[in-house]
Amino acid sequence: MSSDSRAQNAQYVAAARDHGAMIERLARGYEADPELRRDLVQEIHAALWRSFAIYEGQCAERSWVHRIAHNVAVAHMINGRRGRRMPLVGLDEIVELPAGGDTERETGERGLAKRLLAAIHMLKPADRQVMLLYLEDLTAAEIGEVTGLSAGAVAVRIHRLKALLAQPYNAEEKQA
Amino acid sequence: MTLDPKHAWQASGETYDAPALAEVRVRADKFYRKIRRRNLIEYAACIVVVIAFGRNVFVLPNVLQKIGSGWLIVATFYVAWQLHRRGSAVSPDRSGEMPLSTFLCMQLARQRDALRSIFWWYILPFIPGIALILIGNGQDPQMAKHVPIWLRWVGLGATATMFAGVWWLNQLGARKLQRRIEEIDQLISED
Repeated sequence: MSSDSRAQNAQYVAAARDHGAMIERLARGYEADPELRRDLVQEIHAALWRSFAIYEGQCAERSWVHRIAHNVAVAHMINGRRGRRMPLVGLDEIVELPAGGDTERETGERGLAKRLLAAIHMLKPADRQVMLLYLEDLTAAEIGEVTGLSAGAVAVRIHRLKALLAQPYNAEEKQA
Repeated sequence: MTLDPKHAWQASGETYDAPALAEVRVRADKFYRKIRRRNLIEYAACIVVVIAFGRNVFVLPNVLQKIGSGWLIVATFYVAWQLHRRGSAVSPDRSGEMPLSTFLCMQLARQRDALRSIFWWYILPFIPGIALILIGNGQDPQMAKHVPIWLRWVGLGATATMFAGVWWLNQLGARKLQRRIEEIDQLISED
């Protein structure tokens, strides 16, 4: 094995360790079907491993991993959407976090995470990206770098997102 | 109690097990195997054309038929090169170099442009070769004796119809891709 491939393997293993959980969460945001999701996760890892053959610090490693993961996932989403035409909406069209399927009564962090996921599944790619990146704690500048959206467009989306997340999301909170 | 959405999101999901490196590499190789297979098919098609028309260069009696056959061999190599050049779009592993919108639109626009311009790089290169062979056939006394003129016109019509069909199908494909590009633009761009 050449030293280049050894470096590529080492970089990939480190990135998979550091960002593996994020990739899993991201895949959940793009694909609801567990079988297809497993396939998507593998596709992202394969692209990530290949990508380290050409990665020379063109951007921060975190941004690089997010770009690869989102690009593969959005391509997957668009190819999959040809079959099932569920209308997607923008962040401005969601007034409150939707119920997360059968878990309407579920409260606490688990319940909130499911509601966040339900909202993510409704979103158009650009808004979905921003929401996923925001929840992964990227800054506005990092979100702009990953998505290619202008600073203004990122700021508008983050503003809408914060407003949405500030809404009371369960019955108890609404009553309080 | 107010919950932190970021924390709730990052704490969600099953425990993560990193896939084995060997498994990842097998998956990644699938992408390159697909490309290699496509290239092999192209090269095999080239070899068939070279054998068939290479033989014609030596066997056919008329000089125009010989030149036409030689032309078709060169045209085949040119088209194979164009297919190779236009087919190698940006692979997913290079997508880290560009943002989402650029990557996707680049991929689709590249395919759309290849289909739109199919006449110039796929059909036109063959036309002079075919024309020379047909003129040569007309001058060949053996051919004139055995193949009636109407059958030659039918052959010419069939060839023209096939090229027109290829062009039309590719224009339909280009329009479909254009609609997908517009769909992505609409999905991505607001504000």
